[in-house]
Amino acid sequence: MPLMDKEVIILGTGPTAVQCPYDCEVWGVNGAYQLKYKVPNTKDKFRMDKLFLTHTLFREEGLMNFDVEAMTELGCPIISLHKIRWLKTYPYPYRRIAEKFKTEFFTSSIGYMLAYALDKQYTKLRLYGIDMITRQEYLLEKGGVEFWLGYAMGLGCEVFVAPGSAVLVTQTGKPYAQKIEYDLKMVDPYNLLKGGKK
Amino acid sequence: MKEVILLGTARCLIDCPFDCEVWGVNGVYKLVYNLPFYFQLPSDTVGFLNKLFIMHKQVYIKGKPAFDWDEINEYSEKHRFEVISLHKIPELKSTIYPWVDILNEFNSDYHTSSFDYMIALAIYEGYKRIRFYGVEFSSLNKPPDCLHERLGAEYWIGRAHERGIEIILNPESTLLTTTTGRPYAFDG
Repeated sequence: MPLMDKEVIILGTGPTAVQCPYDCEVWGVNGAYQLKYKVPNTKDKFRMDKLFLTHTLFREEGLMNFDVEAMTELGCPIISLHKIRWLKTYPYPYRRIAEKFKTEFFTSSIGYMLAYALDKQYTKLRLYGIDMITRQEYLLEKGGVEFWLGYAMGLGCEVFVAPGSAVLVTQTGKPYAQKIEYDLKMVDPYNLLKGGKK
Repeated sequence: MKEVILLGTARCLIDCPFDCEVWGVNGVYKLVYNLPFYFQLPSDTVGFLNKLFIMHKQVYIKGKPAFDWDEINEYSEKHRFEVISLHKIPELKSTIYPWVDILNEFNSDYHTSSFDYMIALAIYEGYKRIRFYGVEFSSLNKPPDCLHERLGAEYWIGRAHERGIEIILNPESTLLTTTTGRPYAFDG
């Protein structure tokens, strides 16, 4: 008997988070719980079924990484890589997942979430707000996200990435070494290069 | 076990033991067949290629063509390796890369480097172990393209890993590494 489709939205805080329709289970990462207030017209449809935390409560400089009170108010299970004082969390099953998938190649919180989704046999993964466009994300994290998406696609999962994200996108928008076609109209909408002739 | 070495042009290619099928990329053929000359190795050191992948059409560097099609034809004939090209190049004696088959098999056209095409073909052809030599993807002292290219390689290694294919990287490679050497957020 075929497995039922299990669908999840993985929600980050990048610009494409505004496209999120919140029409199925939603897992947020770190500060994604604040999107409810930050993105206009989101309050009514907003939902968060799980929140994933991978950082410790305090940064090196002593500031807090999270708003514990706001996260407590969310009312959804919080899965955390580390124990967080003052917050009820469920431990991320790191050791079991690393052993199951035979890798510890995690370069971002999203990598952990994708691995968790595969562990729970989700078959449709939709990514919003996971854009990998900041310098650090692009340099250090994007490859790990794509590794896990590659793994997911190999398993037959359907993957959707919100338009505007750099995930699974090449520099040219075309596969490497393939012909890049330019729409001259985009460059020269008034045919100025042809002397105005059509 | 069906295994293949993917060979790039980074210096660590001299560690390649040439003990199974070897697929090279672009200008690596010149290095492989002249290893002692380029790397000051013992004169009896020999390398070989089974396949050479040329994914580009002609590329011009400072106005000069990067590929010498006649030379590649000459080397491939003399050393009996197959040239695989993505494009039909009239001057080059090559087999065309099975792009459509690969696309249908993997349902993905996310390729950011020649190595992506090579990894995809190795998976498609049922190799159970893929080893890398001369492949670093290090952005230090290299054009920024190296970074973009690394990303696609990690995607395709993910595809290989899912199929249970063993991946062996050369120690100098930046593939599948994090900056701390530990998984993300374990740096406390």
